[in-house]
Amino acid sequence: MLHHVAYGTVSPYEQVPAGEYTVAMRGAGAAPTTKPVLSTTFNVARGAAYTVAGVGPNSGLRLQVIPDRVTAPKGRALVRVIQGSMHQERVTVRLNGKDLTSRLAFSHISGYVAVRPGTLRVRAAGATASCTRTVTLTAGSIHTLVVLDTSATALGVTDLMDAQGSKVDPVGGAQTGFGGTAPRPGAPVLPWVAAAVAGLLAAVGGGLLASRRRRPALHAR
Amino acid sequence: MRQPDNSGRGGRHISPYRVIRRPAAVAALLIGLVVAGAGLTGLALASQTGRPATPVSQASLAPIPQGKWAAVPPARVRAVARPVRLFIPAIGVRTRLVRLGLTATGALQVPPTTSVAGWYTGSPRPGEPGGAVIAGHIDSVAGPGVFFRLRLLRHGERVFVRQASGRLAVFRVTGVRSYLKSRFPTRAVYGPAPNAQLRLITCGGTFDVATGHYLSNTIVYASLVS
Repeated sequence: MLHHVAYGTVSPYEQVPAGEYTVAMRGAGAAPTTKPVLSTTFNVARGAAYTVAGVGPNSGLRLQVIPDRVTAPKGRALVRVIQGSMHQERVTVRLNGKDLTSRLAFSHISGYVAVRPGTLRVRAAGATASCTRTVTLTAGSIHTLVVLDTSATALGVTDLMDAQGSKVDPVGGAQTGFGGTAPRPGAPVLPWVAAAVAGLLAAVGGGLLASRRRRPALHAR
Repeated sequence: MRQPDNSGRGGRHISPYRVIRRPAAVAALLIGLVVAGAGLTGLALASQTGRPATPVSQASLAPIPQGKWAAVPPARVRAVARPVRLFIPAIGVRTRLVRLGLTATGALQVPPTTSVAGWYTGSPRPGEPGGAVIAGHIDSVAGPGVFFRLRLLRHGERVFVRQASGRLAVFRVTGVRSYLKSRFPTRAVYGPAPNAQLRLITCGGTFDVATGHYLSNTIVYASLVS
């Protein structure tokens, strides 16, 4: 449960079991038994992530469920834009001079764009206001840039991290052991058994032969 | 009186073979004894090199570390201090964390000694969104290492990471799995994750004497406590 969610507030992800969920929004301070101002039902899939956004002016607020990506292409970062500025009807967002989204309408969401990782300059511009900031995008990370009004005449960009992975995936497993506690079978014993048996046979055979030869010689004397 | 001759040919003579055969028989006796002795010695030595697994006895409990618990990171990107120590009271782990990179072949570097664990610097910092990776040895050539009892961790048990800022990131175990290294789950371990998670890695399974490596990895998955 989130309390007193003001314009531009973003909560961290909440982990829930997969299944059907109803998201309800009530006025701040309203009892949980009262009829919600807004509610929406959606299905949460296993391993997936979602952003639930209350978008629109207070008079026409609606709940929007946005599926979030949780995997990025190898060596790249993913970025998308949520246009949350009510004072700038359409906003263009550029990343290091390249259009991330052009003339995005209020409450709309751009698709994810794969970009080369690094510290990049973001510029958001509406008809009467604009702003610039930098964002650091690492490989394997997924970001949402939210364009918001910081005042009636000023824009701001909030950088949200949707998901993050390792910058470089190590190859294979980790060699984290030297075997000092592992059970270990003994060296093979069969050759030694064979040698012992062969040796014994030779010794017995040799001994028998030697003693048998000696006896007739004694008798002959 | 005459001894009857086996040949039945009458007349007694010493076979030329007998002269040679006697020393040969004695030699066979001696060599046989030597070979049999060597065989028995080898057998005794071979059966002594076998060794049972070191028992995973109950860990001496480590105390829960003191300090301010780090909050669940806000969705807004904010710097989290790097990890410096790891505590897992349930299995008696208390160690500093070294920094791990990649080897020349692109594999995960492992701690230089078996008594400390290490954080992979290419992974998110523990407490940041995403799966932070910490690896430690199960054993040295002589005995247990820092993660010897890792496989004994159970669902719900807590793992603490001290950040350089002094704060503690507190995680709860969500799963303990074992994988053959030949089928290492790269995506699940190093791929993006939406919330702050932790993966603890060590070795397990069969030890391959020929390569000097274990064939499996044990991985503990944990999520930041909110």
